[in-house]
Amino acid sequence: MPDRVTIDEERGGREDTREAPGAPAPSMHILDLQRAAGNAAVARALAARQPAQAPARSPEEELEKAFFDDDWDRVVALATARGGPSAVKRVAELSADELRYLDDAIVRADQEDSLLARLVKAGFDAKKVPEKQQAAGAGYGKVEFKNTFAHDGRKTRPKKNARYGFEIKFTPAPWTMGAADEIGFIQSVQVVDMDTGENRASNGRNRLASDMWHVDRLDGSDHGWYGMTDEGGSKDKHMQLWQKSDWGEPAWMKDVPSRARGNVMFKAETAIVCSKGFHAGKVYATVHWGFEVDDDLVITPYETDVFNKESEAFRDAVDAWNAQATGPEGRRSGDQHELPTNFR
Amino acid sequence: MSRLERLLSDAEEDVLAADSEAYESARFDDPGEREAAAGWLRANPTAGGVLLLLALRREAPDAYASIPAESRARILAAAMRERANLNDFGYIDEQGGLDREAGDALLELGEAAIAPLAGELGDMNPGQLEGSEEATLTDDYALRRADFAYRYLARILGLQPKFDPDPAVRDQHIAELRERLEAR
Repeated sequence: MPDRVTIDEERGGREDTREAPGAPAPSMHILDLQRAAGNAAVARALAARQPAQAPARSPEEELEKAFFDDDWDRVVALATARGGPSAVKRVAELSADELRYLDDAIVRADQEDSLLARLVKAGFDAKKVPEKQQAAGAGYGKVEFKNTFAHDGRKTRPKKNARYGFEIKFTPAPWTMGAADEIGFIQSVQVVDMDTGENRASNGRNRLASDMWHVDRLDGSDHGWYGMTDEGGSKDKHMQLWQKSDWGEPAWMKDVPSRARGNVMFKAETAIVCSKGFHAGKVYATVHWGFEVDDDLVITPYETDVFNKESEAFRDAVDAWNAQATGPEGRRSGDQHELPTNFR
Repeated sequence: MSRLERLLSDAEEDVLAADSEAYESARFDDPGEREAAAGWLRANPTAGGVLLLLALRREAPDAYASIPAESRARILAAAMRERANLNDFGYIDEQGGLDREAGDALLELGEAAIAPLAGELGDMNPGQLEGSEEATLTDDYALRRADFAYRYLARILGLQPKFDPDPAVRDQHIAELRERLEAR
């Protein structure tokens, strides 16, 4: 595996140049004051010496901080409310991948017609990203997905599970093939009771992240990559890695979630990720899909959305997988490998 | 509802051991409770007792051992036949699969489990697994309940279980195992 560079390490070169709040005035000798003027005077003096509350940031500063923190949702919230020259300047400075993160946040906020969305488009154009590659998930190749079936279950014996089939295919673009040796999938899921919100997933109890999202792998698996064998290969029946040596065959995965008890919601975020090569760790696209099963085991599919990049919940789930991998024996597989975190 | 009743209720509702709060929290610190549970299982060696049985195995090994091995094996074999999903046994795949509590209990029973498991070798009903990737295995390999019976029976007999993605090939493995059993 190539050396991993975390996002924090990547950010290491940047410096926060904001000034710290002003220091309090030089101190006086408290005991002298107490002797001369009494306790009340001391109290007043101390109160006067408290540092003034840090002045509230201006909208421009707030926006700058959001960009600095890569808090794209916040950038959208602030910039769509107030726009301004600093937004124009900062968006123009973003890399193509940063524009993709911002583009995802714009879609999440339903702001596709905003000025900010136009700035992102202008940013892509300025970087000569072709129109077709500006679409969500199209930056590095072609994403295809399909819901292959949705079979309602039966509650009476012989009981039959409610089952939902979903497949994703990714064909890397030529410029992606040059930087990737292998491409696979990392899937994070949230499986919860629709009334109580309690976790109802049948795996991953020792790696639950925020809101019950977790990396979806068979118990006992060494790799967090969906469908990967412990030796690091493809499980032909439900996952095929893209390999440079067989470049004409797309990366492919199939999932068939199945439930015997209803009133449950299943949501998945499946990331298409470079597993080996110069791009190792880079997220090429994500597919958000899922369904719910009612009390009578009737399935209702959710709308499927393709995004450019991983969500914060996904990153948390990967962090939880990695914490499990480096955590105590007995709560992980024997040789659980960490997943990459340098998704950009 | 008592702990015993909750464990029976969860089994009736086809709640997996991993999903059952009653199973997770079962302790059996009270000797009277341990004896009541063992007594119930001795009198009712059915699939409905599987979570109670597994909880007793985990928390009160002596009470568990007081149940005749044949009764324990009958409960587990019935669970393999009747439970909606077989996750409590583990899963089967080309990598060798994984054993969970019910699977471990069968292997531990050894000889006593042979006859009840042999009775399941002809059960070609779907061996459903709940979950995401785990459930996908059922779809990938068209797993049957007989495949699970074969997996445990072969190992109890000291054999390395074979697994082929093609059910027709697995049928041959099952037929070979039957012949071995008949030759015993």
